[in-house]
Amino acid sequence: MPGESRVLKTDQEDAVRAILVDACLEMLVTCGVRADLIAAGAPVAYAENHIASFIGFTGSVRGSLVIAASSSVFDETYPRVPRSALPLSPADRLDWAGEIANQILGRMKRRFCERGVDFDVSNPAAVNGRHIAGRSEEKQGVFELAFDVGNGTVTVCLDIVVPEDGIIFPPRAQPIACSAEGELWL
Amino acid sequence: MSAKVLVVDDSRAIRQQVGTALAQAGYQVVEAEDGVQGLSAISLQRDIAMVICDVNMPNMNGLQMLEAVKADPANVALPVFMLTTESKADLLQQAKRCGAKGWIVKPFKPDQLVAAVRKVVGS
Repeated sequence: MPGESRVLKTDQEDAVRAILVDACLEMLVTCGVRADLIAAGAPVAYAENHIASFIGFTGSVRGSLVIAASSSVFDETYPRVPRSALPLSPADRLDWAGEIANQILGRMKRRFCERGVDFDVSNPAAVNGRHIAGRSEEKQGVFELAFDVGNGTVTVCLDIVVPEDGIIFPPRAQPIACSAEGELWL
Repeated sequence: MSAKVLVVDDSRAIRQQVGTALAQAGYQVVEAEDGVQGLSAISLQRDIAMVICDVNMPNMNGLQMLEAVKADPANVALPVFMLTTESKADLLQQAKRCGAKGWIVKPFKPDQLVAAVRKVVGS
């Protein structure tokens, strides 16, 4: 696996982690749930996780993002407009899990672009299972996070292929123009 | 007779969210799962008044669909809004060159979406 023995510089690791945490928290709050980052090393109830979604990215950097949680978490975060409180079908749940991964990565991409790093995003996929979570061998470029969302836990695993020089954000890179969330007339 | 809006997105959750918001605002909504289905819907249903379209989709992405839509002289005036997590300026410029009317970065607020649709096709 390329990048396996490479070392991500500490400031780069901190920057990626901060972007990932912000993107996840923003997404979960947008979905109307209160989310708290669980401290590293604290016990996480992976056994509750029944659904995992996966999305890949490639460009100046490449890697993947996995989001896992219980069915009830995806039910709670599903975007219902008023008067449309529909019960979620299993297919809807998987679809929504993929969309959460897509929107988290979309937020990350905007912040990467601000630092001059761009990537293209794959179509998301999601699976049902038992006791599932993104998990990797202890290695560079892997960021495992967990968020307490009240009625359950959302676990997140970002795996970035570490560049040869250990730098993801080149120091003098020009920002890549992006628009913020919301409406824009062309 | 309310205006008909075509929603093209591979995510059922997003189609449902957009569709419900528009239906509650009084619009007729038709759905398609990708660009191929979207093009087919536009050619078969000539009363579609507006298209809201994702960018990253399987089979045919939103920008490819937009190009194909605008290549047909019958659709030059058909307003198309892109609704996507993509936010890069070069993609926005590409969409503008292809004739897109607007670009909304997900997540969107239903009220904001309905207001944008009203501006384009009326109540």
